[in-house]
Amino acid sequence: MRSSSTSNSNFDSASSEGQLIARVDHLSLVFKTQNQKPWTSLKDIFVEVVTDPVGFLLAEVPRLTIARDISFDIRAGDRIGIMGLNGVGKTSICRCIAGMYSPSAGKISVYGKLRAVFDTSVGIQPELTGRENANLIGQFMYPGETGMKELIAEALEFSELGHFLDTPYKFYSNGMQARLSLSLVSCKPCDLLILDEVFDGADVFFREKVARRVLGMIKKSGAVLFVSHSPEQIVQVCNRVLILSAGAIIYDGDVEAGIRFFRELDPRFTGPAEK
Amino acid sequence: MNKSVDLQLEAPSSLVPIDQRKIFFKQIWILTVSNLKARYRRTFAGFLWVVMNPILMLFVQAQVFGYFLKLQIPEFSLYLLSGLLPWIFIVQTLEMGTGTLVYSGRIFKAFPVHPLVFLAAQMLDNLINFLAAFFIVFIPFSRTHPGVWHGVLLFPFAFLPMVVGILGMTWFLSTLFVFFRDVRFVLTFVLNIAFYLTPIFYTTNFIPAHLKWLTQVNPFYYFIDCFHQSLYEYNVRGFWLADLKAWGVALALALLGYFFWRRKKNAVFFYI
Repeated sequence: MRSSSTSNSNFDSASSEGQLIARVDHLSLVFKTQNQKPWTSLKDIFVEVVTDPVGFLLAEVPRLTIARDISFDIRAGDRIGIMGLNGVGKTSICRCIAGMYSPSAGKISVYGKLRAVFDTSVGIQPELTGRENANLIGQFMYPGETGMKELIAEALEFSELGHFLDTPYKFYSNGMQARLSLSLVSCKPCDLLILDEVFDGADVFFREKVARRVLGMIKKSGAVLFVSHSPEQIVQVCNRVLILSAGAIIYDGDVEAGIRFFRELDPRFTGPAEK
Repeated sequence: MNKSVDLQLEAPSSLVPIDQRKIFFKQIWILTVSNLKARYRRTFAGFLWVVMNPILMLFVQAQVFGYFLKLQIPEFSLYLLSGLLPWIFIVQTLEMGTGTLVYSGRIFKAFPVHPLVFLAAQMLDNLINFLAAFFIVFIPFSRTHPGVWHGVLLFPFAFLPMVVGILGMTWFLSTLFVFFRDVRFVLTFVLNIAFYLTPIFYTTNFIPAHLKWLTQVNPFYYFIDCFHQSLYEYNVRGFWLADLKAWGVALALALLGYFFWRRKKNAVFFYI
């Protein structure tokens, strides 16, 4: 693993003595891909059994390794950008930390309140209005929080959706869905915030507005895991970068050096360090 | 402050802190209310349509089996009421719940929320419809049969094992449905057969002795029998025995759903 400890431009790097927010300890995540065969019906299994019964019985279960013995600490003040080529498991590792996947081996400990958002274009009940969906999303995003009513009212005002708030969510464009979701996600800081490509759906004008608010909220949050393909966003938000490849962390350290390292890894990638 | 994140997505158990359980049940309730709102919005008669279905089924079957076929069962309407409405609840919950993990997948992949919240909300939605339909029929019925109110006191004990068992079965089926879309077709087929094999419009006395085992291997029978014992027979001793058996089946189904989900959890997230 390559690492760097030089400081980053936007935020002060978290000191290694900062309060521990989360610990990923020898995490391995392996999927048995037996079910990823193109079987959608019993008919497909029947055809396979009949055409190649021996092969069917003796076939090894294919495994897909997402993470291989990964360890890292997340400390107060860390704004960690997670980079890697498509399919290296950035989102899966974040889902593991958020408790959505069970690790195949290793342990994840989170000390404090965690909030994670992996998709900003999801409505809970498309038949209901944006306002009603905001109340529902709020319950899932901020479980157990007090002052939910005020929180949601503030988010709705920030979204600038106006009379569209009382329109059924199913009529919302992708941009409007992202506005609602991003306004909600950026309401309140927490101990560990996981944001997975959250800026991608919003329109340009709102993206700038919400980016300022998300950055403000990120500053107040204990620590952040930020998955993005945009080097500009990584530079803007993060003070530490993890680069993943083949299920392992191959770089952990300074943002600009990380982006340079990533560019060497993938020549198609053009980060701000190149400018 | 120290907690393992695994707790966030595990089913509520004695190991999960109370505030996590409170959140879990609050999310179920809020989702149920929104399901009901969404379902009845822009409908003319709203709730009435959903409640009318079991009431009409009850009326038609009471006429066909009681009046046309003249089944020799005393108080046939009461017998049918105590078996048919829970059966409709079971069928609706299983049929509507089986697709839940697939159709709500985007939501629980977007936020760390337990998928059981969606299954339980679907079931609670059906339970509200079941209770509404039941009491709409039962209240006028009880005017001519005042004794049946005693049976209603046992009602919560009858539907608790049914709720737990059917939720477990729905959890198992909806997980299986992620991998095999045939599950829905097979389920409809099995439920159609199970309707005739479960003593709902006939009593166990009609079943030949050598075929009695059919009821013993039928998990639905144990849930329905509790309702028969409480409302129709009003046999308190018989009820508790039936309730005990129903809890046995319910816990087995709940464990089946839970362990199958645990085993397939990562694959479910990966696959949907």
